[in-house]
Amino acid sequence: MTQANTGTRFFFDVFDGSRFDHDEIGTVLASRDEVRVQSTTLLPALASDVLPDGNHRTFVVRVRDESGRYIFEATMVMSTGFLD
Amino acid sequence: MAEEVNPLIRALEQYDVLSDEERDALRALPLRTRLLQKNEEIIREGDRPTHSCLLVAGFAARTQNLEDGKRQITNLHAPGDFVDLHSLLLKRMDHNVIAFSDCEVAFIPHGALRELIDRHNHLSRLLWVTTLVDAAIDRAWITCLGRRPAIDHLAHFICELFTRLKGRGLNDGNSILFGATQVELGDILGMSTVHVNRTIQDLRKLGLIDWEAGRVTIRDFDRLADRAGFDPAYLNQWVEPR
Repeated sequence: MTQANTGTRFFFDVFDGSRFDHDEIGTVLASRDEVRVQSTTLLPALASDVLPDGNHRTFVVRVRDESGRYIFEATMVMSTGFLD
Repeated sequence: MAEEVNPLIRALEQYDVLSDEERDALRALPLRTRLLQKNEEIIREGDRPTHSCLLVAGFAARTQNLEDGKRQITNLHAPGDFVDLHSLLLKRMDHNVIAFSDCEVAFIPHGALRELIDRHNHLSRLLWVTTLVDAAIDRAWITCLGRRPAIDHLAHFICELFTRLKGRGLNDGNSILFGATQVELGDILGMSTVHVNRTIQDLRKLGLIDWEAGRVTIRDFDRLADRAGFDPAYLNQWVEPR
């Protein structure tokens, strides 16, 4: 897997409600703004990947920069349940 | 004798036996070769090509660009594929074709292709098969884009690419050379870069693939195909009178 040549590497740690994944490889993005775009498109994609069971599930993406500092967090809560 | 036609001969021989006369007719096609660098345009949307372009080495991609600068890669082509045989009949290109890696291509005048088709009905049918298989691949991609979860979709893409290349002897054991960036894979799979990255790690952790420095290695094809729901029948890679 080759990455884009220019940009900064960010690490996207993911908690999908049951499993915490520490991103050891990272993704090179052209700008810091891309961190938000990537995180907000990743969350619903994670939800459809794991097909949540149960009524409540929280998905969290926490993003580290190259120094290891957390710089961004996005959370999506899925609440489901029959109304009757 | 044009060596550049050999990948096409190998591609057509996946579907049926060619006679010596047919092979000679293909080798006699007039062609002009060009070396292209990655990302160079081969054909642009709106063009009215007078030649069809045969991919001799490397990968080419069909792309459709969106108004907001995003793009979707709608198909990949391997050596031996005509990337725009349909321009012979459709005339006006409705999408772009770009060099996905450094490429060697051969341009063949439409007049010469028309003459070949007029003289050799069987070759004409085999060229038709190639466009039908392209359409079958498009159907498989649509189903993956629309319905398969990310990990199954990526698994399906890898199975398909490996099987297509293997059919032409372009694999290296269980590996293929495929130097795509994560952004490009995202454009193929309709996924964000980070999601692509994560999905590759998932397949790796399952022990199904390795993906290092432009080399994809399949650790267990049967399990990968099972994961993907991959049935190679749509690729039509068997010899039968056609």
